[in-house]
Amino acid sequence: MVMEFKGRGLVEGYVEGIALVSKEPISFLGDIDPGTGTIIRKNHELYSLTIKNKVFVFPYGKGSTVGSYIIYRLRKNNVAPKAILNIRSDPVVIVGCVISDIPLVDMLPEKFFKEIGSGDKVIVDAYKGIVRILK
Amino acid sequence: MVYTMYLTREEEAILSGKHGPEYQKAMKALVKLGDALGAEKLVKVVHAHISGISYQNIGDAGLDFLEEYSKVKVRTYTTCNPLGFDMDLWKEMGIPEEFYAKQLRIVGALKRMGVNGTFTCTPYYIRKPLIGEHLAWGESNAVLYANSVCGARTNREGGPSTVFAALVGKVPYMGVHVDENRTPQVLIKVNAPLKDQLYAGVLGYIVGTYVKDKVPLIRNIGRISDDMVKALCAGLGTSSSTPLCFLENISPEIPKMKLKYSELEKIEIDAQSLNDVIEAYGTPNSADAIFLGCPHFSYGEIMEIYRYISKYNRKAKTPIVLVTSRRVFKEVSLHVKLLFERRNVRLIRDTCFAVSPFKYLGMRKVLTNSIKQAYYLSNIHGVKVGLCETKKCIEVAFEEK
Repeated sequence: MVMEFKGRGLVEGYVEGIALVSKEPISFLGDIDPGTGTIIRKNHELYSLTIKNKVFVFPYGKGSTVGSYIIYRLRKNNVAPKAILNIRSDPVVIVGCVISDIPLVDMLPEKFFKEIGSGDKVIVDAYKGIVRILK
Repeated sequence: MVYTMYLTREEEAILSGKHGPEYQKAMKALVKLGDALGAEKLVKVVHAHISGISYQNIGDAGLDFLEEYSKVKVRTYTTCNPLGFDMDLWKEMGIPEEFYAKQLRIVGALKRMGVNGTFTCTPYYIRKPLIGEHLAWGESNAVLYANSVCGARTNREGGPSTVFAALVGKVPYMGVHVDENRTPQVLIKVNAPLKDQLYAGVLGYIVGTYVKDKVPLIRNIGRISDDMVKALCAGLGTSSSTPLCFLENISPEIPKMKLKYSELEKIEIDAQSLNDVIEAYGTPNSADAIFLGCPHFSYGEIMEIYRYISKYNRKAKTPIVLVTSRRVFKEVSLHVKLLFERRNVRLIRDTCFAVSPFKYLGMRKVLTNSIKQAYYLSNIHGVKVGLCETKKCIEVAFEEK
């Protein structure tokens, strides 16, 4: 089954990958190790998992603007996510994805966040802001 | 690339890569931000102030980024925030070699970009903005000072966006760049005397906890000095995300505004609320060091300390550390610096303890007059911080009962 959702494409790109879904907002500074892409905040639901090569889904970013530099470093270290999907992207994530060429889509409908789960296969067309979940 | 805002032909050329990949990325980031947040166009800035340049804060990620973009030059007048140490005293401060070397690489990258090495959180002492000017400033106290005291216009830019704005010389026309967003939403009435930077800072801090991202109009603050206004801005920036506040008898835009006071949400703040915040930190009679200069001291504040210590003919028992910019440092006469040395007062520059690798400094308990300094030192570095009036800080250092 394929479910298609329309959002807003913020940073262009077309990728296919496996979703990693965080229900909590993400502060790239402090939550993610820029060397490995591992989630290092101990009380995070996805603690010790990696965002490397995943389609990383979270509601929105928070915290220090240094987070943009962390996203950039993830890319340099080849441990960046393939794409990022948000309810609403904040300036930290937007800037981070632009300078790192990571496809970014936001303003996806609420239903998308109900349907998507970690491990789902997704196709992200950030040129058109379209995301497909394959179950 | 698809975008909705209006761009000039030159801006389009930059976006399409005609000026090289660095300017293209910078422009793309600004256009994406502007589109996401509803800006109709870009606007030229006369001064960018880059925040987030301490290696302590930005680490190898920020270092990589700045080095990559240092191949190209900024296109507007640009200053920058403090470093992790005083460039001349790093050894004495106990800074590890590796930290020093990486911080120097950041400084080198900024210099290649054409950024002025001001290393201060008070860019308004370097170049005071004029009313109506558009700026791209990071550093919350400076943003609040520029908007509220000078009547200039800048959003609270993050570290990376200040770099892009400096490179392109423009920012998205949104937020407090736009007239409609420069109106007060909350009316604050102050029923407390503000007799020192301590109280002005704490007042700002309390206002910030109420208004969060709304714009306050603060009334009944009396005729407070520029140094106290600066402290107020720093406190407000610590607890809120608002870039702008209006200060009665100070903010130049107030006389032209048509205000309907009855439509504003109203809050009163009394002396007890100020004291409650100070008491929560405590006012100890001893410390490992006294920290003054958050935000960086003005010339006048340095001379105020000079007056206080002139009356003692002995060394302070507790070291007093004054932090300022290299610009203001240069203005201070040798005579004053010599007396400071004899009285155990260190006048340092380029840095801020909040962005220094504090664990190497060997201090556990400090005393300051700045709520901003207290907030960040205790939250980021786990240091025990007490709050005192400026004069009381000096008295504690000299162990005067």
